[in-house]
Amino acid sequence: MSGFHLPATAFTPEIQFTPSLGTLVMRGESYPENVLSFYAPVLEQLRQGLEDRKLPFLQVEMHITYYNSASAKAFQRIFQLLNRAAEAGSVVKLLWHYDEEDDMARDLGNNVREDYPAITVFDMPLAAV
Amino acid sequence: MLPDQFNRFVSSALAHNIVFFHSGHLDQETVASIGSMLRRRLQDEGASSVQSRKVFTTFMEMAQNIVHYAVPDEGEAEGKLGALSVAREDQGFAVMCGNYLATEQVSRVRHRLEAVKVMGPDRVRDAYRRQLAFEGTDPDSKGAGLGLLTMAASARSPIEFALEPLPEGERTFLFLKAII
Repeated sequence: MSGFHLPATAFTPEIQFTPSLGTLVMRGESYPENVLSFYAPVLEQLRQGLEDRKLPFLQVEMHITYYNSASAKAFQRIFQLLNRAAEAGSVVKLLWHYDEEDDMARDLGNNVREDYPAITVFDMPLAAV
Repeated sequence: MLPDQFNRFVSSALAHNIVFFHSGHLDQETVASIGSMLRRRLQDEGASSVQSRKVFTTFMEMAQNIVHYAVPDEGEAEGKLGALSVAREDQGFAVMCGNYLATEQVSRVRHRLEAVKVMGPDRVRDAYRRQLAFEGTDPDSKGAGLGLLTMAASARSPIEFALEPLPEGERTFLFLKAII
């Protein structure tokens, strides 16, 4: 199976891609010192995984409690890959979790809906504690 | 530092309502630990969760700018040096940073700061979105200006800045201030 699992660190989220279940989960904070060197291999593995086996269904859960501006840019590359997989026939759902008071995170979810229309985006606002 | 000097230093920090101050080397580990310290301090200060998030977001972009772009202080072989501070002011929390830049970077930085300064909130949001979608790479910018737009989107008024060249010419002091 071409899945992978990266444990979370202080600056990078946990990332778990499980093709057999059709899931991709990202959870934690994202502000690696070098965003490219962290996300390039993630993108490459994800790209290969999505190409190896066409998934009928992929559920993507993103629970990123803090991301820096460079990570927001890296997320666009992930959305691009997901959009491509969706255009190729996979049903791709994105569960975008964010703090309901966080305008920028809410906007980012809306941008995905507009810019990557093959992905079905579900807003998952969390009430502030 | 003598006890009375230390007292004056502490009194001055209190008089300026300093919530947080760090000056010195910055690397990824330091940024992570001062970031979590700042979160605690904001909680203690009774900041709302929205305000806390925006202060933290702005602070982290400033800190990461220093890690990526600051040039060493005179007599230092290497390392990223900078000062970061959060203070309570009448209009909100002031998030400030100061560091040295290579003077050759100044015109690019000034141009960018001036362009963002005159944008209202809507134009900041549009510019942020355009930069996010921008696929090219700017060799001089590790985040393509997104960091500055993130600060501008978090602040309640335009980002204030000052660029002061040092007499030696090679370095320029950059000061940024965002009110949240």
